[in-house]
Amino acid sequence: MPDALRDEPPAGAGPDAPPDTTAAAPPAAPPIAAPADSGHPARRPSWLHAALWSLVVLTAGVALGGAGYRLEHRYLIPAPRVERTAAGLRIEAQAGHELTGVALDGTRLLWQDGASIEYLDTRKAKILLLGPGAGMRTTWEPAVSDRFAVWFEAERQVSLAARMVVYDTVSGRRRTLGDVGSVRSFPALSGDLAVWCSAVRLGRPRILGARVGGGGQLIPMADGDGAPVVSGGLVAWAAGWTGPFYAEEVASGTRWPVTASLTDGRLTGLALSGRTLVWGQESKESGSGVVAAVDVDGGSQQTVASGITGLVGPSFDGSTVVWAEKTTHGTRVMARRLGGPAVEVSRWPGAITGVAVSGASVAWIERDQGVWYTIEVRSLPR
Amino acid sequence: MSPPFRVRRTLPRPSETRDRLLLLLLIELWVLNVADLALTRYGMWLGFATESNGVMEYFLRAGTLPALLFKVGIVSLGALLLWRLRAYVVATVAAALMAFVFAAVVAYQVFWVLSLR
Repeated sequence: MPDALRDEPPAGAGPDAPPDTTAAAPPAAPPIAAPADSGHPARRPSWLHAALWSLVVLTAGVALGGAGYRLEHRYLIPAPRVERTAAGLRIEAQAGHELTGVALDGTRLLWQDGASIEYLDTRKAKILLLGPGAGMRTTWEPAVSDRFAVWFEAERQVSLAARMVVYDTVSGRRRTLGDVGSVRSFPALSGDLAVWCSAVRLGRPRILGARVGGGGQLIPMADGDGAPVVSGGLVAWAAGWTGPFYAEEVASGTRWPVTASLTDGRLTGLALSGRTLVWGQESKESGSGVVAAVDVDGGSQQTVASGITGLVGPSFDGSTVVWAEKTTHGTRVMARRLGGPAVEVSRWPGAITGVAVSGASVAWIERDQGVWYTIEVRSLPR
Repeated sequence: MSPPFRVRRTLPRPSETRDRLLLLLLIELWVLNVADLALTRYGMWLGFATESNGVMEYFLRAGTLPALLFKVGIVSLGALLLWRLRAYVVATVAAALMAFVFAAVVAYQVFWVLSLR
């Protein structure tokens, strides 16, 4: 017991007080609160001392909580390191962390880090861990729009009951929208309309949609497999790894095949903005890839780039197509505004595994010869 | 033959200053308890937190008001019990320990909520 918490007995009532031999009345019984034992000098009851000691307890608790939080986030949940560079922003993953599925919309950057879904507002340069939620161990590549981010998560990769999770970048809320069944494609997002392919009923894959800003009621579209993309109320998808393409207006349910000249190569990426569909296709045998664009309502097909090897992407934001391709000394990120010339954005001696473009910004994932992943965010060259 | 079981009896040691400390600790504990519920509810509303305590989860499922009534009620009851036992040093030690742990939990939650912004 600290001395500060010992009470001082009334004057004359302590053990060291001389006996009063002059008093006629019998001596008063010692007060209860006067056990000034062990010879310490006693003190008066003090609110100040009590408040100070309670503050010490409170401060010690706050210090423990703060230290626990810091230790947990430094050693148990290590997030990638964010660094502002002269060219833009660099996000460096920890050793052994695999970054995939970069998505960009305005200042909202989203990616998959192993099984984690990480989000960064490029203005704040602070990483937020969005998923997976409690009990979930698997996630799929996320998508982001001007307000929302969506991804799937499940207890395991082969789960028949993955669930869709949405994060509202304005309110900061994360909501689970419901089961999507067995996942067959990554989600795509435009505004609050998410589209994907999954088999809600066993063995029956379907193109599905949901308004993530609302209750997330499923909007059934076409039967069969596909990797859909969305822009506004228009959805397009490739029915297989080599096409063909289909489009559907969500509001009316009108569906039609998109006329496009496709090669026999495997599709490397599909992007839709407005009514322009952009895709990449590369044949392993010929080793020559092509990036092309077409109006979903028909019209002439435009070749954005051809003769490409090691094609990654493309990504398209309505005005600029961005992709990555192999060079003799590594890889490079290329950009081309529709109707304009192709320009080189960056070179990298290692591999580039993902690209994304939005407005004046472009983001890509670099992987060096080992297992180090970095996301670069830069401004598009004028 | 085993030795006889001996009970060590703690003697009451009343102290007015310690009473004051106990009162302050119990008030802190009560406030931290409400803050813990508020921060937990906010974390759950944000969709990032889940309640691990099965009993509290049951009440939180029923709503914020039942959870508040249960949590505040149970802590108030414990605080009253400790206050009745204020003559014993161990009551103050127990209150200090609980206030310490609650302060750590609430501080952790505050740091976490701030990290989301």
